[in-house]
Amino acid sequence: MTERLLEARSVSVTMGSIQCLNRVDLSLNAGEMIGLIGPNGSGKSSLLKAMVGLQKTAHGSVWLEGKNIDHCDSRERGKALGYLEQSGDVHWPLPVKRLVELGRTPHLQGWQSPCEQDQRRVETALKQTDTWHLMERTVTTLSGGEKCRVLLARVLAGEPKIILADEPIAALDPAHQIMVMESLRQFAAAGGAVIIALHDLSIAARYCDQLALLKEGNLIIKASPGDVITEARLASVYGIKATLRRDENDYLSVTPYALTDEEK
Amino acid sequence: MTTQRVPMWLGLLMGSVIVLFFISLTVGRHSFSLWQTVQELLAQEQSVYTLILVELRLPRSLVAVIVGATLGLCGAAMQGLLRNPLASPGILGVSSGAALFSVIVLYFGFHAISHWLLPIAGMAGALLAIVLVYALTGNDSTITTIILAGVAINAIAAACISLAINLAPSPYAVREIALWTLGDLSKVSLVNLWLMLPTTLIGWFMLVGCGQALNALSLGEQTAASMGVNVARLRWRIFLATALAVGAAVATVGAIGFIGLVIPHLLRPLVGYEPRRLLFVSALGGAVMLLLADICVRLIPSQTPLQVGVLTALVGAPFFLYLIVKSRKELP
Repeated sequence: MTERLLEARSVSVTMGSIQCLNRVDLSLNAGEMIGLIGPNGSGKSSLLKAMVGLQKTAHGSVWLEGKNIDHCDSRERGKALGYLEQSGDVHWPLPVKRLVELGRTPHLQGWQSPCEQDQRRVETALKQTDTWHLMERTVTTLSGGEKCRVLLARVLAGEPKIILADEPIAALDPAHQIMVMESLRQFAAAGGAVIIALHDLSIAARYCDQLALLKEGNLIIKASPGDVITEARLASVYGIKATLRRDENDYLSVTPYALTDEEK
Repeated sequence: MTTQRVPMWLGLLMGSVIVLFFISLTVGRHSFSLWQTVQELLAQEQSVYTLILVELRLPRSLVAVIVGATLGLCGAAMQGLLRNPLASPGILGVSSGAALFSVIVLYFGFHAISHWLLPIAGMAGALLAIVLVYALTGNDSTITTIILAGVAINAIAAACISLAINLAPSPYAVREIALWTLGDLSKVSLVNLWLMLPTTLIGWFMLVGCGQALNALSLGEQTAASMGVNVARLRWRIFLATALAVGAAVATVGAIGFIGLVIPHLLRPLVGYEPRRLLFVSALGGAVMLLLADICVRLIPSQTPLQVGVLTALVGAPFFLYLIVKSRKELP
């Protein structure tokens, strides 16, 4: 039996009078990579935040390795979960290497500085994300794509069991999109688990084992990409017409070409 | 890399504190040989000069170091917490809260009852200001609301101090209150020093362990929280520590402005912009700035003695202006 690492049980989130999530169930096993898709405002970010324990749930609960996340020690939670925030602001012009070192925070006591072992993790993370050459640069001078990868390196340096990434590839060129997805894929293959919010449906279908489709805070379906992405569902959830094509490797590619008649 | 030069800057700042401390002992209306006076002290002889040294200049210099360090340290912690280079203990209204309560004590002459009342009132005012800011902003507040709350507290405190000056019973009281709110080191005694030391040390101690969490906060509150940092607790800890240390400082010497703003900002590039490394360096830098300012007010010839807070404000306010212009250019 595979180990259930992280599980949202009937999670509802409300902000003011708006219901962001409505009784969503979602579980994540070791070695799995789940793509979270859905239109803007469908609750992807809220679900990720709730699953990291940053968002209070109005109903339901999140379980990390069989333990209610609200009862977990925050440092233990920080070690297990790597959260890659959507905005990814960095507030001071820190050197890249020091920024990636911040990923070691949950492993350090308050007064400790990163030791040699921490340094090695940082170096591995820099290599994995192809940011080694940026090590001495100042983070505010990086391009959007470079910054995304450096922030991913920060998450990897913390050696989490699960990575929760909120649209990490939105600002990247195709080569670096593939690179980031490959690193996450590798991370899952090595026994980790990934849950990633994505807008690019072709990439989601290509890299994720399963897709979870959200609409207006409801989980519509969680299944293999081929079962989730159908013309009918793209029309009803996204309000688009799209061409679906399977190439010789059996990868699904999605090309939206028009709004549905109701959307017009 | 600048970060490798940190030990050099630390050494330089420490050296400056020590040198300026000794200069501060020798500067004043009466000039005498420090060496000779120390020898007299060791021989347990009493003279006017040993009295001036022990009762006036020593406490004055020590308080300058302690208050300067407090302002520098708290400024660095505030800027790290709010992730805003324009923040300082003054911005949250801590200084003006402490100033208001001290002025109330002065106005009603309560300090005649016990000289303990003034510092206690200062700390109470600082704490009240922090609690008010907290009540106004709540747990999940943004940086803008915190700063706005600070502005509001500052305005209220300023209005009440103006009222006290307006209604003051005598021109003498007006002068005392006004001069006192400007910040002054010339009247401190050893008693003041012992009075302010306990809470100051508690405040410093509470801030020392915040470095790592402040570093993590560079990535934003959400990400810091995801790495196990309890942001709400960190905020409270820094608020309380600042109230204790700055409250004690303001109650002792009055509101000396801009050190907490200028020093962390100037020193930040020297430590690679890292909030954690900035804490200690800023404490040293604050001590250097206040010692230097206090030496300058004694050297600048003027009819009435120049107040040290006036000098720091004259240097600091244009610098504040420069920061605003600069941050406007940098931000999109």
